[in-house]
Amino acid sequence: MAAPTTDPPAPQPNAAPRRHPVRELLGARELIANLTGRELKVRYKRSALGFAWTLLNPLLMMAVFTALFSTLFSGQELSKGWYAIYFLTGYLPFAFFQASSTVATGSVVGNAGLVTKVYFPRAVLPLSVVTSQLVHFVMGLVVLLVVTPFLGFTWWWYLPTLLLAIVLLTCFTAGISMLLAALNTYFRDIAEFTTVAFLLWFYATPVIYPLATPPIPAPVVTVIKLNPMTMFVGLFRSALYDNAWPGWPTLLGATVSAVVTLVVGWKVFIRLSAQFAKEV
Amino acid sequence: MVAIDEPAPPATAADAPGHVVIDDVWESFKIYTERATGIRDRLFARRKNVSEEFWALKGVSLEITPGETVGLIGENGSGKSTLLKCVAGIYQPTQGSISVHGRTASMLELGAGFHGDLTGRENAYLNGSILGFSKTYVDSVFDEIVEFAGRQVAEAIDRPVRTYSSGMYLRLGFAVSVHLQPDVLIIDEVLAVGDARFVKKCYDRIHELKRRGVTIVLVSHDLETVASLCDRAVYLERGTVVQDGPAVEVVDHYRADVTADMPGVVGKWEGGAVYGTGAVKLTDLALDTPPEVPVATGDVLRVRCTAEVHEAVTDPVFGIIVRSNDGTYLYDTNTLWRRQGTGDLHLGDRLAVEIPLRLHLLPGRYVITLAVSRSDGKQIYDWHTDALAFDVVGEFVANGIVDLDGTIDVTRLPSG
Repeated sequence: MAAPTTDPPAPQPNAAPRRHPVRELLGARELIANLTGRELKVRYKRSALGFAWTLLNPLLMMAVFTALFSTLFSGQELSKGWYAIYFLTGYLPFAFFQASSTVATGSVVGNAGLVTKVYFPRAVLPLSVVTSQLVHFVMGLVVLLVVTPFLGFTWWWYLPTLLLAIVLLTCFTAGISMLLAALNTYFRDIAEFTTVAFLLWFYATPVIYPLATPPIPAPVVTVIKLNPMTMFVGLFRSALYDNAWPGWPTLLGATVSAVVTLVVGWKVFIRLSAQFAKEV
Repeated sequence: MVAIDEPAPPATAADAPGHVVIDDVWESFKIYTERATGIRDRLFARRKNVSEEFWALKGVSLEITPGETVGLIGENGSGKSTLLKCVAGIYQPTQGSISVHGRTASMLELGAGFHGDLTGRENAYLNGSILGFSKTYVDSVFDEIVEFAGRQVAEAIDRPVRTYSSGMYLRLGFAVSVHLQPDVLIIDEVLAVGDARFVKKCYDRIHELKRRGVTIVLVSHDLETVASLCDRAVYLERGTVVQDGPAVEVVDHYRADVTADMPGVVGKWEGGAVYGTGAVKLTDLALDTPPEVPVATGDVLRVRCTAEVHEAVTDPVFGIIVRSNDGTYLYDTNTLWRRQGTGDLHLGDRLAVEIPLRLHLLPGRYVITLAVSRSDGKQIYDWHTDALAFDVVGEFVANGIVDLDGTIDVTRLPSG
């Protein structure tokens, strides 16, 4: 019914939600855990190899890239040889970041049925995508941790770096995931755009090549170095591949970008989430 | 939990679980005549994004105390579902505020969030946690949920729900929603699911929650449900509250408004509310046979009453509505539709009204509403809801309500 508006009030910023969003989210830990479980169960429920894909997928990627690039970046560019391990220590974190962000982008729109029918803290939708991807990521890392000592990698002293790297990368990924999920409810182009953007981002991160490789022009190197993912991959590599302590610039850069991204992503998400039920 | 007949003392009422305060809530929607969802459209061609602001709620204020059962009624577009979604927290008010104390469970769609590839058991837990309940809690009521959902669901509880029939799916969804014990339960038109037996079970369960002091806010087009289930009803029209009061009165008011411009929408009403301006009053309502004496299918029953004129009026409309005992709307006629003038009436005039009805009705109990209204039917002078009842008796030869006087002729066809 198109009722003529009588005295519409001046629209104001939204009334305060019932509880503080952070406390509300903390109250929904179990929901995040259950949705994570749903993601994991559903993903593999109807595939023959099931959970094995979590490990198989990066291994197949490793095989492909090793076949293609190990001769190109052999010996002198890599401090320790073992292109396959060099690749995996960069690929696993990046794959976690990319898969989380891509899936999370559609998480609010994809759950429109839920968003318009039930109230729950909306942030659980992108966050449960991140946590389920984190499970896959950690499993991949565990395999890497088991295998690499046989190849002469002594990572155990650097476990704190690895744990810090996981926490920071998860924060960064959560921030980007919430940002994209929120924006995607308003601009559906985001989903299309991210496919290309992540391809570019992948090549702008030293996953398949070492940063010191000569043919890269200097301005491009600057861009690559400013890329937060370069810093995160750097942390993982220093712990797992170089088996050395990371440099302060890398550590600082990774921490700052993780915190800033998480806060911005969260703020944008909370701000836009008031309208999700009307926009999806 | 506060029991219904023991209202919480005012000092603690404001934040008692189940207390809902809706304070001057306005809610706007953008109606896009040309919707632009792409970035390019939004950023570079803004004027193509033509939208009109539509205010679904315009300053609604309500206070619902713990244990109350409140029905929101009104036509489509009146804002009742929007208000319900605001209370559920799905929409945030554009302006104004809503505070809901205690746990809320909303049943706006049964089985919201069920995933086809997960089993019934997994979905029950997931659904529980979406509605905000812990695993420990769901554990404690899980057996009851399964039992309530019925044998079919119980047998299939460890199979993926995509293998369920739609009835099983809804039963499980309902069972989960009503076994989590919230302080505030929000229901939107979801009671009409499944077979009659399950519907009854659902109502029983809702009554039980009500007895336990759960605050219930529901939207229903079924006025019968609202009148029988709710203590209080709120009649909304174009986003504002028209009337807020005892369910029975509000439903009657709403029904009178609806029947005034759109005859045909009524439901059962138990009781016998009488209302109207009193310009013309109906008295001595009676049947030509005493109400306790049954009549037979095909008989003529005369309904009589006396009209007393208290204000001069022209052509008042006399009408009658017949409903079956379960509220089914059977027959409704009046002098307006019959293009029958009733003349200029003056103060002190008395009229005899007689309505003979031929009862093409199968055995059962039937209820009569009598009314008189203004010549255009839009103002009720005197309305007697369900004022008279009668029983039709007869040999059982057919089931249903209406006697279509059918016969079943069976003849042998020539063989070969």
